[in-house]
This record gives sequence, C-alpha cells and structure tokens, in this order.
Amino acid sequence: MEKIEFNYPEAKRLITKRAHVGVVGSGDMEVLLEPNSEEGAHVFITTSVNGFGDAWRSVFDRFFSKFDGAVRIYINDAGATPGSVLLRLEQAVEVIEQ
Amino acid sequence: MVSTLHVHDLILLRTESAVISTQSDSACPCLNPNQRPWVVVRRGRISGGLIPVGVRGAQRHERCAGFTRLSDVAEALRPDQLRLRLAEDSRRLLPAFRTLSYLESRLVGLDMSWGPGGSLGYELASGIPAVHADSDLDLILFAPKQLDITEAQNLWRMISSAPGKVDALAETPCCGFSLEEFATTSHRKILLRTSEGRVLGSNPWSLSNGEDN
Repeated sequence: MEKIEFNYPEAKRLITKRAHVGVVGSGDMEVLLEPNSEEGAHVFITTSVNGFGDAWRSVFDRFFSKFDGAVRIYINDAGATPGSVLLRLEQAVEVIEQ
Repeated sequence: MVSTLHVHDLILLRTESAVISTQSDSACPCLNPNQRPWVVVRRGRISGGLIPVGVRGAQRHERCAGFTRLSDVAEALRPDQLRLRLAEDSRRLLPAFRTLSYLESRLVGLDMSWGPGGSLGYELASGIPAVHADSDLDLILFAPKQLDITEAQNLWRMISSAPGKVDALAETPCCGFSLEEFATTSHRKILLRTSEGRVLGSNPWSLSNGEDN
C-alpha cells in the first residue's frame, strides 16, 4: 500500500461537476474527480502496488498536458495498467464535461 | 487432450523452460525450479501457436508475462474445474477460501459456469500457497449469453453479500468486464478487457465501433 500525491498548479479552469467511475478490482481502479475549491489540481493516489511513483507521474503529466480543470482527483488503485489509468481518467472527464 | 485454452485457465507446462519471456533481458525470475511449472493463460490473441501466459512468483513484483507453445502444455484446468478442488485443510480458514465456500452454497442454482481465478485458482491448481489473509476472491463467471441488467444486479447482490471481498469478472465471447461495474454504474460505458486491449464500451456481448447507437 502506497500513497502518492501530485499538484498541477497550472490547471485553473473552473469545473462544476463531479464524476465517480471505475471499480476497485484486480487490474482496475476507482476514480473520484471533483471541483477544487482552490486554483490548481491535486491528485491523491492510494495504490496496492508499491514502487510505481514515476509511472504515475508520467501518466498524470500526460493527462494534465491536455486537461486544465481545477479538480481534486482521488484514485483507489488495484494494479491498473497505465493504459487503463488513462481510460478511466478520460471516462471521468467525459462525465464532468457532458 | 488440451484442445482449446482460454484466459484464466491454469496450465501445467512440461518443463519450466517452456516459457518464452516477453522481456528481452529475460528478467522473468519467477518459475521456481523446485516447483511444478503452473502458469495462467493471459488475455491476448493466440497466434502462431503461441499462448500468452502469466507467471506468478512468490512476490507480486515477480509476476511476469510470456508465451508458451501448445505442445508444451501437459495439463489445463478451467476455473469451473478448479472450484471443485479442495484447498489443504490448513488453508481453508483463510478468508478468501471461506468466501469461495460461501458462494458455492449460494450459487447452486446458477445457470452459468464459474470458478476462482487469481491467487486462489493458482493455489487450487498447483498446491503452492499463494493466497494471503488479505487476498480478495477473484471470481470468474462465464456469460456466453447476454445478461440483462436485472439479472446482473441480482447476481452481484448475492455475490457481494459474501463475507469477504469478491472481485467478479464476467467473461463473454468478446471480452471480460467487472460484474460490479456493469451492475452498479450509472454511466453508459464500462471497461471492457478484450484480447486487443482495454476499451470503454456499452455492450460486452457485441464489440462494434457503433457504440453511440
């Protein structure tokens, strides 16, 4: 079990909706994405697989190179692959921007 | 004897050298030469006679992916066959095994084939201890015919009433998906695990590009 946090201060666009997607099951993860009351985005990850901080960092760097919403993202991970992480994040964005 | 293999099947190889690692540095550490070489069929396309397999080491980080040849397969067990095998007496009190026997009594009339995957499946096939006190039960349900949402919700309600956490994966002819997600989500799309990779889609029994119909 490992906890990881990232900040993306440049993500300032106002977001008003929240999304809850995914499930905590083998190779998958749950994402809660909600508006941040302050400027910038914060990511809080709890993962069952230790030692992948750099991989998480590169997934979120890639995600926030396209997404600029001021959000708080909570992730409960059970070993999702980087590809699945991006799919779940895209799904959460689809929900808040519907 | 071994004619068709599917994802989640546990297979016993004739020799541990039958695994071809996908990593060029051959860092696949896992097969212990002192144990019989059981591996699990991974999701992926079987092509050129090569079967995608996963190797489980003693530790989680020792898992690795490789391929093997059909001719190297000595024995294969499906999840529904594994379910009928008994764990060692000393292991039966572990929560995941107790959850499995609870479900055995509750799913008696279920018109679907099902059984354990993950660490339980591996342990039941190989006899090598793999389940821990905090292991979830990975449950595989075969759903060749479409489940309607009410059936799925009833099934998930029964499964999730088990004493331990159950990670239930349904397998259709096209893909695998989380029964929990299918039964409980309010979104139109769920995660589908196909042999070509993972996608978001709305119908696990019919993968087409026309998702927005």
